[in-house]
Amino acid sequence: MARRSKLEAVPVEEPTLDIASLIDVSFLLLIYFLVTSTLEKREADLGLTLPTENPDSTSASVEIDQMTIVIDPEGAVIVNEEVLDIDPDSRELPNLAERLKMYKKAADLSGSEPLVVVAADDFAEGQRLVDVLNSLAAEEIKHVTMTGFSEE
Amino acid sequence: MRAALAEEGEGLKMDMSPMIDLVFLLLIFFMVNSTLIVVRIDKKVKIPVASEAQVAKDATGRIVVNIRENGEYYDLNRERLADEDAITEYVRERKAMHDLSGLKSRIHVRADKNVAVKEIKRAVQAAGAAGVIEVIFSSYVTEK
Repeated sequence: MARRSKLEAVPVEEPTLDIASLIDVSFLLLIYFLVTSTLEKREADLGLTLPTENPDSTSASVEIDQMTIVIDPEGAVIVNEEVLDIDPDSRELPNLAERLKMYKKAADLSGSEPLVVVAADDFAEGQRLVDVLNSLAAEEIKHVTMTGFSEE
Repeated sequence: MRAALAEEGEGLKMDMSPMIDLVFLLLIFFMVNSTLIVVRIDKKVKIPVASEAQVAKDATGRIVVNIRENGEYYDLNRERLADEDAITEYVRERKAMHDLSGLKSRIHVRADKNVAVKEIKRAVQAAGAAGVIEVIFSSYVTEK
């Protein structure tokens, strides 16, 4: 009888697993992925719609004259043959912003959607095009299109 | 006395399992996050800066075209697209895939800030030929 109770007492001890090393490894991996993933800068969006030959119903409601912004090869921004901002190294376009504000107001008053066409020269820099799109995004002008594609 | 000490020692044991759960969760989150970025980014493209750009909430249906400073085009998997026809073909293929899953296709242009607008126009026009008219330009919100 006494022998039997001794035998029963042995399997009561639960088997344990040492998980300290598991935590070590997972922490190491965690820190690795944390560092590698936060090093990347997040990219943001600037939108544009291409001109189509068959405009849909939304663009048919546009009544106000469209505004054309020209970017010349040196990066100067021109509206209505008037040079607005010339410094291609500056990310700010104060004169264009002013002009866009007026245009947006006029469009709002006439109850139509503002429509802007960007005509960038082939040899202008990509950053300049993005600067102009940035100014348009600041004024929340959604209908933006591009012109000056090569005819084929 | 000895019994009391033993009892105190028992009380110091910590349950590790919730901590491991948490660590694994974070680990998987960062693993998934980092691989998503690695696929999309061509490091040789220097992205322009635009302070008003919006960080995307919806990244579905995008067809990535990378334009490097020398005017070369690269697709999503950093494979070279030789000319306009290659871009049109690539965009058409991706668009067909998106159409099957009901997504609206958009061109995601990652153009170098020093590349000539001519190259951007060529890429956008080629994408337009494949029937995608929405264009998104990548930019950083801040210089740093």
